[in-house]
Amino acid sequence: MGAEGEATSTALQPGNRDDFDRLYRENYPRLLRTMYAITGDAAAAEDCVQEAFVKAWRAWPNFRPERAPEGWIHQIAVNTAISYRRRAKLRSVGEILRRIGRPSAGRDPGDAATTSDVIKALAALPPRVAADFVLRYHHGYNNREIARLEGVSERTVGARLAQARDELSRRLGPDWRGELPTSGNAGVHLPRERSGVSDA
Amino acid sequence: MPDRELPEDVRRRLSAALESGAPLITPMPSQARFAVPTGAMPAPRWRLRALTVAVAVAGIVVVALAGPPQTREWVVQSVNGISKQVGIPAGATTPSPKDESATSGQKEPKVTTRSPEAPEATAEPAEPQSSPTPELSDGGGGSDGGDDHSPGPSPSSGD
Repeated sequence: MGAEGEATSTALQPGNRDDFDRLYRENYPRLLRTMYAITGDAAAAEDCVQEAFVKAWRAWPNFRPERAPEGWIHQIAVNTAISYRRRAKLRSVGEILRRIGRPSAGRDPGDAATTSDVIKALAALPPRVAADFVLRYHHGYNNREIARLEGVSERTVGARLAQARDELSRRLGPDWRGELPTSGNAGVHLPRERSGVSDA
Repeated sequence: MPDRELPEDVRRRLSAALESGAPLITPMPSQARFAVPTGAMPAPRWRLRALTVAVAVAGIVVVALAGPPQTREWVVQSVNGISKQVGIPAGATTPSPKDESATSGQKEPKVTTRSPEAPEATAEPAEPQSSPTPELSDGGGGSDGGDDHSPGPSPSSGD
């Protein structure tokens, strides 16, 4: 949440439809990617984002302006995705039971880093861990911004990122463990969602 | 805790996975889901309110019909009040059980108050000689002595 987010938070007025539309336009891309990482399913991600905005719209008249609206909608979306994952787990119980006893298909090392595997590995992470990982390494937020967005300490964010890197390196390869920064911000790149430009 | 950076190729792989898996087509705000159900929102609220009122009325009715006689009159009156407000004609069915229960509720205490008085009445006349049939004399004395037993009627008339 950079200068753009702060400007948004000071300008938005609770209950105002135009301001909510602006909140929707500016946050939809980031939330969609984050929800996709949490749910592992594009349709579910869209569903979660839309559902989150429905909840936010209902609560919009009572929104407290002193809070950053990006963090507010982010929390609603993550909670919605957590609920979705719980329901999905319940639905998949029968499927899991059917699979018990079958030999698992062997993994091809060549497919270790295919797209679906990356998403599967992200979706296997705890939801908040996956969300922080995407915010940090895809959307380009730093730990302090993530901490402000989520209302947690930077230490919590750092621990979640470390957990994500450990899990992903176990699943996808040692490259995902990351490396200590050597000089400057050589590897930093800001995706288009961060700069407010959507590719719609 | 050292904050590690992901290698550039890993970052690209992550971005490619996220962007190719969930192509970004942001619906217009007017097409978003939050813009659609606003008109349909009152329906569930009305349903909830109606359900709450129905449950509350049912509970009051149950209490009115099965509650203790002391509170019954008050509750029945409140039920009648509610039924008048709702618009249900409260003339034929609801008041008649209330009146019956109210009148019976008044009669019953008299009977119960008399029954303890009856032994006293039998004790007062001091008819120990007729001890073989004290209960019969009580029952008969209650009915018979209603005429000549002054202590029986006097408290009720005093009330």
